Amino acid sequence: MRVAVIGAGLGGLLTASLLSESGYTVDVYEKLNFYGGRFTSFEYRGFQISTGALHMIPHGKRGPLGKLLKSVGSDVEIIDSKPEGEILLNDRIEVRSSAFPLKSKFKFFKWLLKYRVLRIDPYMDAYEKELDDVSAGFLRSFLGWSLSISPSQIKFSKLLAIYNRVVECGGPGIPVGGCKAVVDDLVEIIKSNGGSIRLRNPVIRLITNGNTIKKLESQKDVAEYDLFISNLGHKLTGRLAGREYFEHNGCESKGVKYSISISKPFIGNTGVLFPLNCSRISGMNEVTNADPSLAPKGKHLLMAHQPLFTDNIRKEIEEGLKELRTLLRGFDYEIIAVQSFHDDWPVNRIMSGLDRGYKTPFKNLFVVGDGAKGDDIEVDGIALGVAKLLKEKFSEKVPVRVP
Amino acid sequence: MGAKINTKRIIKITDRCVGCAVCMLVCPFDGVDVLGSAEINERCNACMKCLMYCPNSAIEVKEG
Ligand SMILES: Cc1cc2nc3c(=O)[nH]c(=O)nc-3n(C[C@H](O)[C@H](O)[C@H](O)COP(=O)(O)OP(=O)(O)OC[C@H]3O[C@@H](n4cnc5c(N)ncnc54)[C@H](O)[C@@H]3O)c2cc1C
Ligand code: SF4
Ligand code: SF4
Repeated sequence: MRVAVIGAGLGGLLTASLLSESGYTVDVYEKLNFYGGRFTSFEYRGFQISTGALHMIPHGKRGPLGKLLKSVGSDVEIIDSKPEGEILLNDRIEVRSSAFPLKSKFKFFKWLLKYRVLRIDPYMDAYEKELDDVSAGFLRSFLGWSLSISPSQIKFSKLLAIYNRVVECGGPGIPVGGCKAVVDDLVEIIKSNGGSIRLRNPVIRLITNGNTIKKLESQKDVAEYDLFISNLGHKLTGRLAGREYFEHNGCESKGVKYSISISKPFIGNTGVLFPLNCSRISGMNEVTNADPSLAPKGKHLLMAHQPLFTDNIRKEIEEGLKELRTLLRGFDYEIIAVQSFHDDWPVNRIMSGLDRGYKTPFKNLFVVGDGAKGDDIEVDGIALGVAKLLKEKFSEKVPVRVP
Repeated sequence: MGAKINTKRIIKITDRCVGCAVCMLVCPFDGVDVLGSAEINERCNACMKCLMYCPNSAIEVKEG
């Protein structure tokens, strides 16, 4: 069976590597001069600056991505964060149950009961008002950091699904070598199984016959395949196939990422720091505490993430920088890159909870990646979507619980 | 020197730019600054490397 994968992002490469391990012949088409999409990095002034992701895997080695990587034979080392997270208010408090007042925990169980029994499922801004300041602040920061959304953009049931995944799989981890180490490994696996990665060769059109895709036309040639996997999200995939079966406008999540060179560690551990006093910066990590090679000797790579809720990006960046100046007062640091993400290069192509799965109107065309995630965070959601596709359509055994 | 003055006219950032800074990361000449969107600076050598890396096809070569 010949499989064409359109797009060499994490979703495409993960699917391609798993299928190539199972004996499929896989060709991956990529528009750009590099693979990995928003999950790789380039060396810039000695730092590994990523094209998107903050060099973090939401559930470390115990999550869907960690497990699939292991099953496909990747030996990327993932260092699980310890502590998983800390809240920065006046002091630092480790994120664990005891950090939140009993009153708010009772609220959570009340909502859970209302959902289970009466199916009451509002957006979280309705519930946020009932929480104490620390719990409400953490809810905002956590959603901003992990999904680039605000409480008004997620329903209780979706938050519950994510909470359950965190309880099941644990908190984040940092891959040694950063995101690039992960995609490098996947590419090596694909190639060693006889697959190919065709850089600078965008797919222009999918040639159809009724509800079947017959051929793929790329910038360089036309080729026939049995199966087609698209890493481009449903909107762009539909356009390639000449049938716009899914239009979503303005439901991607947007953000800004700051990469900071700092002489002495600011966080000092491998976890996420949630600065609750900030209204723009939702979270920070310092990946060099897990892998010093991500920065030049004597420097640390500190990163901060800011979800974007307005279109005035310049103004938002100014506000974000102001908050960073306050946070980093007294430290010797330099902001080396400010990157923004929206439109076709967003934080998430589809906001969490709005994903529509891998199916398309075509029987041999499937979508993977962050436009077709499972109910989990970021790249672990991508891996869960890939696991679901492999289990349901390819009858593959996957080491991941697929809900 | 002449080449440098010319390049400012050659490489153009269009409004498809989202400010992801991939061009800045790959530019061998430190020829682009990014803050919300990319701006070509006087160090650009018009090598055209960034064109092949921009995820949004936002970099073009100016006509003429
Ligand atoms: C600022 C930021 C921070 C983030 N932080 C994290 C984090 O810490 N942890 C985490 O888990 N996730 C994080 N994410 C999310 C994560 O980076 C993305 O969800 C993930 O990389 C998306 O992968 P993908 O495979 O779906 O898409 P992409 O990476 O976008 O891949 C799609 C690929 O398809 C190619 N392509 C497009 N059109 C064509 C065509 N016509 N023909 C051929 N190829 C084509 C593109 O060039 C691209 O390479 C972050 C994202 C951002 C932006
Ligand atoms: S790579 Fe393209 S989209 Fe990104 S900042 Fe540069 S010009 Fe803009
Ligand atoms: S054309 Fe070359 S020198 Fe100019 S900004 Fe692009 S990569 Fe840099």
